[in-house]
Amino acid sequence: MTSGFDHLKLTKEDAAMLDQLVDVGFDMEELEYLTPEDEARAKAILHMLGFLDAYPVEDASDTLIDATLARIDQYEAKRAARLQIHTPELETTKRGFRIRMPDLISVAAMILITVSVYAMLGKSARSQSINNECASNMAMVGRGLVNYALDHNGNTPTEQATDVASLFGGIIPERTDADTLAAEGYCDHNHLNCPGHGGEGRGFSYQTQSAETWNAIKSQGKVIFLMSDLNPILSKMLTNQKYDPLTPSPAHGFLGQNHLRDDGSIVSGAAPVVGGDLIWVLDGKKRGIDIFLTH
Amino acid sequence: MPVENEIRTDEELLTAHIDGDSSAFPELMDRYKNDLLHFLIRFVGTRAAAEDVFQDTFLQIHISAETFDPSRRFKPWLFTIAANKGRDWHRKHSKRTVLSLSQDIGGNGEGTRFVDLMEADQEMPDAQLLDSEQNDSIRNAVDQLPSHLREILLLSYFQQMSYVQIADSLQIPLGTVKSRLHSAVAAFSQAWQTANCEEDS
Repeated sequence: MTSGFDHLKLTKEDAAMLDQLVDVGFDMEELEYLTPEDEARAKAILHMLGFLDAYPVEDASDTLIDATLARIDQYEAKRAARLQIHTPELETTKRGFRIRMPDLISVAAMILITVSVYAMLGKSARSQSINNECASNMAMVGRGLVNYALDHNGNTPTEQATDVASLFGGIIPERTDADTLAAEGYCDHNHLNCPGHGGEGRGFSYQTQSAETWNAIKSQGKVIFLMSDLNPILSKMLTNQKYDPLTPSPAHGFLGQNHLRDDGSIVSGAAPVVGGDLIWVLDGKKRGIDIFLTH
Repeated sequence: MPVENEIRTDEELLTAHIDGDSSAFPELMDRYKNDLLHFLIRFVGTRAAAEDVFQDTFLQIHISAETFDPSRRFKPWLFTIAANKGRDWHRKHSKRTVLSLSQDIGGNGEGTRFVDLMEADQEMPDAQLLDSEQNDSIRNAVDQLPSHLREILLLSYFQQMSYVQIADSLQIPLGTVKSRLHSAVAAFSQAWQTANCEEDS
């Protein structure tokens, strides 16, 4: 970028003095060993630049911060509206998480990629099969969540996780209510399970957070992890037993685990996006909003 | 967890904002409202435009907060974003008059000499003693600088950012920062000189 002003330049000596002044934050007293000529030059530059201080400015008004906050609120409201699936003909009947429009092609592609990757890695066929079936089940749950959201003004079913309130300092947190999803026919009960752990009880774990934390997570606008393979150490945590926080999922031969995201996609395997091969707590990178999985 | 009543750093406030502390962002804005608004008024020329860009700047800070590296200083980041938003504003409102300099002071390879300027016929008044007409001359002299020179002049002089910080912030080579500041100072001197001559005549 050039302009009619770019050809203007200072003498070599003035430019050198200006550079020195920049280095000391325009504080001439910080300059040492100046010759009388240099001192006169520095004073002249500072005198000239001092006129910049006369540029008329005014302090901020009391309303500027309020106006800026209102602008941010407006932005957040618009963003939330964009993320919400619009079903204007239906009223909201239940409180829950908003879910984004899925890209089923992407989901299918990701599952295929998962299959290909694991095939290339040469993992055992049995573990591979379990992993694929697990991912497929999650994809069906994801599709069910999307369909449920379409019927419920963009919200997905939630439940109060009273059984793990002790891990939240007595506050009752919330998580996806997959049983309601299956009970209302949006997926099959068989889909709520990974074949890797024998199919007993609830087969997956669900991200569980206090209402306040959910709001914080959602306000960040990132893809949210809703569901994952079973947390292998939750029972130990609830009974105050010792546990290894780095315990990976044994569900499919320690191949890794699968995760369902709120855009309906599945992240599979030991994908680095969710912090390696850990299943029960996923580091939210620097900011530390962890994904906590309960069932 | 921060100790109650302890003054939080800018970086801590931003982190607190990301973590959902609703009081942190207003506090951060309050801390910089005058400094940033003054910078923007000088950069875009009017208070109304500066307030718009102020809002754009803090909205961008809010949107990009998670990308901020808390090991770095917040203030240079803030002014970098403000400068970018100010430049965007200039691009959208590019109907600007360009000062026509009556003499090519750089054309002969000698460049502008501050000593010459100081020894010119008209006396250089003290900045504190300028009347409103002269303040307008200062404003005109600054406003006629192209934005890419003006932003470097303001970041350097008012925010005391080093060449390295400016180069890092604006993603331009260090040598370009230097040459632009040299040009900006020379242009401002010349514009001020011209304005004074016109006023006297």
